[in-house]
Amino acid sequence: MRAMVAGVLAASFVLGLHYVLVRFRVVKISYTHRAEKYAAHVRLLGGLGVLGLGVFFACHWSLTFLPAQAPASLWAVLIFAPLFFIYMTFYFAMDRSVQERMMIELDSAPEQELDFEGILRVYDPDTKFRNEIDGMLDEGFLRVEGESYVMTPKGQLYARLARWAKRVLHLGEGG
Amino acid sequence: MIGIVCGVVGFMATVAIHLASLRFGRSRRHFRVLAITALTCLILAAGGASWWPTAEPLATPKAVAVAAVLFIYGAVLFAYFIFIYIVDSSSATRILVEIEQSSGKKRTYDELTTRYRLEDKFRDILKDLQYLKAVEQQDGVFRNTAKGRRHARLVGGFRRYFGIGGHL
Repeated sequence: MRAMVAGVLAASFVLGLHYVLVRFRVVKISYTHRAEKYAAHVRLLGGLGVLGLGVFFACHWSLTFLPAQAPASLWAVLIFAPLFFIYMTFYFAMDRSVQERMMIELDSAPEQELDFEGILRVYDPDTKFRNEIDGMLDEGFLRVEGESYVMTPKGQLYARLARWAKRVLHLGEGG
Repeated sequence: MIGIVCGVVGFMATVAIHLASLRFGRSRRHFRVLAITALTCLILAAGGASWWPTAEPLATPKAVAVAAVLFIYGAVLFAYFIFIYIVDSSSATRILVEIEQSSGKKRTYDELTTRYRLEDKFRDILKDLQYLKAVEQQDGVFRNTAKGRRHARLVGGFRRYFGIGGHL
């Protein structure tokens, strides 16, 4: 139980500090393209993660009043959840990543090379756009009203969360 | 300790059932299948851990508990980064935000494609792939590097075997 509470405190410390540093531009993340932006966030989170380890061990040694053992079912849930999350990330990257699709299209091209127009021919942006919208209609994020697309309450909730995160983390328009 | 074992076994069962459903199943609702499988396995794992008759003698050693929590800690940081990545790079998120920002909270297909051009996203992604040294460009022509080729064949093989991908 002690290790779990220390872990929660350390993770909260890191996520909170990352939010403050980025939100108030104490650390300014400058980039020329997307991969650089993500690399900067990974570096920042990695550095804060090492700091968080100090918080973890400090909490672990000082929270002696907590019982050492935690219920077995809680352990099962806490181990299952991150393993499943990592698997889901891997699966979705395999299934729907645009980067992967582009590399596969380049590899499958007759000369194993394509110019930008060629990429647009084999990976049609219009079809992708329609498939994205169909997926959101299917999953209940959007509904059709006349000729327009309108958000369902589920879509609205997610859009507000995303808009808030984009604003506070200065992520730009993205997409 | 039995809790950790049950969690790992439950996860492995989820992966096995999910991969079998991709390979042999007919459902196109892959995410729904995955979610139902995971929830069932999670309930079974947590239930199994709490009802295991020898739970007491298998109390989690301190070092194992610390290592397990450090793994969970790393996973939380990873999840936070993935959240940032999805919010920033997902096309679906961008489309929803475009509708949310509109005055009437609705947009037609043409309005959406005017405000959000996927051609620009594709250009950005090609730049990313060059930054990651997976793709190289010469005289306006793009080709995979050895790293990109290995990656494309691995993912392509996985996609073909399990019948996923290609729809987005």
